Amino acid sequence: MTNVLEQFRSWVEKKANEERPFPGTFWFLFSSLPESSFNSVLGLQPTTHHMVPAADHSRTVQVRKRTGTVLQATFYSLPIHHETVHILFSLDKPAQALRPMYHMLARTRGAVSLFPFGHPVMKECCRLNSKCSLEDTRVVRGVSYPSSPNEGGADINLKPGNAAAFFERVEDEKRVLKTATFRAPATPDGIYCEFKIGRPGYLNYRGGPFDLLFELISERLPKRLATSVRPFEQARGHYVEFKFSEPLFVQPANYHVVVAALSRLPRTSVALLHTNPYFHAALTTYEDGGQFDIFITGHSTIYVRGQGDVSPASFLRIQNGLTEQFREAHISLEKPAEHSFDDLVEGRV
Amino acid sequence: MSAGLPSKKDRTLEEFSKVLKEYAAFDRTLDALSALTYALNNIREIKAETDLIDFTPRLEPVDLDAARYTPDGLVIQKHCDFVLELKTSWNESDVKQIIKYARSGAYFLKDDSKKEFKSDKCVLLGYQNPPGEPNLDKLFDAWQANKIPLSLVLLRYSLEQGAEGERMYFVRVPYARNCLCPKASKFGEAINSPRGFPVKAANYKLHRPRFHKANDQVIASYAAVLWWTRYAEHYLSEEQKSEMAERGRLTSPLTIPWNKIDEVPKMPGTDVQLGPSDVRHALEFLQEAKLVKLKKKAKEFDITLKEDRFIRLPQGIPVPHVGVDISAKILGRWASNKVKKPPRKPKQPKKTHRRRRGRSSGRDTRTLPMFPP
Repeated sequence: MTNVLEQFRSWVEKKANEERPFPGTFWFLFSSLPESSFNSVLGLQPTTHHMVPAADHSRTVQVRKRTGTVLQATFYSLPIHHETVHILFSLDKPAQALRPMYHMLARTRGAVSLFPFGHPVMKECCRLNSKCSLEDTRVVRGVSYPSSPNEGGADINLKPGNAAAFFERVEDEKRVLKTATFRAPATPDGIYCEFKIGRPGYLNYRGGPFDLLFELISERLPKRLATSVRPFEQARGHYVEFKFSEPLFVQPANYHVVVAALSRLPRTSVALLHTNPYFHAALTTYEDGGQFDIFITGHSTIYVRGQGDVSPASFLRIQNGLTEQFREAHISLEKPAEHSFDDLVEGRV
Repeated sequence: MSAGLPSKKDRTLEEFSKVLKEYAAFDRTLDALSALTYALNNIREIKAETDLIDFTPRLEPVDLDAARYTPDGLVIQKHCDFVLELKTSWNESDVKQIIKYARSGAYFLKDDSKKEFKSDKCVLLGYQNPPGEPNLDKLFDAWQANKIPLSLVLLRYSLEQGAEGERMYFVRVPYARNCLCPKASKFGEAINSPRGFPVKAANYKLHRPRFHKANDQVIASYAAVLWWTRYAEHYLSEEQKSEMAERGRLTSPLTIPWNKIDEVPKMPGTDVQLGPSDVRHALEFLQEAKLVKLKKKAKEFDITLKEDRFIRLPQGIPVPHVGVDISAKILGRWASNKVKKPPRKPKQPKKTHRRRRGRSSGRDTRTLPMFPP
């Protein structure tokens, strides 16, 4: 396997030297299906001509936009798999391939989902070399927008500079990062690797030495992502807490942003059962049939509980919907408290 | 429009606000059930003394009644038994109902075996809006007249806002003839406490998904919203599920024949879920909201399920301050259609001097009943 991946790595690096910026994009997918079912549910077919080394399955997806424009992308399955993390590779620009990717995922009935890249993941990714600091990485381009309830428009160029200053500014201004293009030192003599990370769950390698970035793609990132989904895998019968760093839901009037965030999730139905002043909504996602109870009983936490067996992918989509609205949340499982009789009659329950 | 009569817009708003109030009040009853469940399950001393908590109990009927009684809850403890009934507000039929629950001598377990109540039995009757004294007198007079040697404890339950968030408060109604719960029970002791006891929404949310209704009741609007959001997708075929997953709407309607309405899908994690009659009421409400078509001739309901964005909030319905969701759309459409397109009354057959076809059946067979036996 190491040889196959090494062959793939050198092929990618060679192609990137020929074409700059290189459009090669890695898509990080969550699925608890075994490899064979994963390929079949995505409609990936065995590859007869090995255009991409190491890729044994592929699928070309076409999407016709309302304007008549046709978007086409081919996705190749890579033999990189860590627990629930699978990686597909495409040779199309992310903007070209994103809609075909969504189209392909919509047919999996929620069995496969993109891993959304939050702010902390993006921040970790931009340090390719542990010997270099965040200041050594340069941001070429960053696209962000204000988080709720802050107002304002998208910012396409945050006066990029070094990554430390860039992330500090994004955090201070409470913005949600959509895409960021980095140039990170990849060799001791200061040669840079350029890559772009997209919040939906892709990483686009644009050029430069590929070794460290490939190590990130094939080892560090899959492990990091697999760990991040653990609370969702153990969520049966528990509430998952999304705890935000600031009090976002002080007034019931703030709930409209939550309703908007939930309603924006594709193919869902949101029914409000209670909103004055605590919040209780029933959410159904038709994508995979997942049903959820969503509560807000405090100022900074959203509690989500699935009914019966709900797939972690479904939780991931909710997480993405909420965090792209309110920024990152600390995610954990709620542990019900134990109380005594005295607690009850003295009003502490 | 004649002077003095409210406009259609005002009538629509009035209907909408009325149905919304009922919806919220019913939700509070389910909150109260969840809060009591929390007290029974999550307070160490109360949990230790409790042997059985059943929110879909069946009690043995008395006199000539055939159907088993269905109060909202049954709590069997080591030393005493509680029968629970929660109501939004007073209804004249409450007296008869509560007396029957009190006179019932036994309850049925899940395996249908019958078990006698202990001598120390208590009836807990909770109201969101406690009745006035004349009605309470009526209730306790009837209790006395029936010589029931048990405690009848009236409670008020209300959702109140405290410093640490919202709490469901339970407190005994301060009425001179109101009884006390048996003292041998910690649960009873909590209810007897002069200040009552609260349970925070943050705590009782743990049990809230278990209740889609109270044992013997759900209002049509609540059932309709839940059915559309939670139950409808369970009726879909595999093809229809794929269609909803890809497109968010069905191209051909989901059809539920009348004779299949009784087959309500089992909802995971829900103890008290909608039953066949609740589904009927839900579908009728959705039909009035013009989201479901009733095809009388084919004896079926046609439902074109779609995700929220394909359903419009009718004009004249105010956008709720928390945003538009499917409950606002369903209730809004129902209110709007009720005023603008009220259901047509079935045509009365013309009086003719035709002879009856036969004395054996006086039924009018020209129109089908909505739900044939």
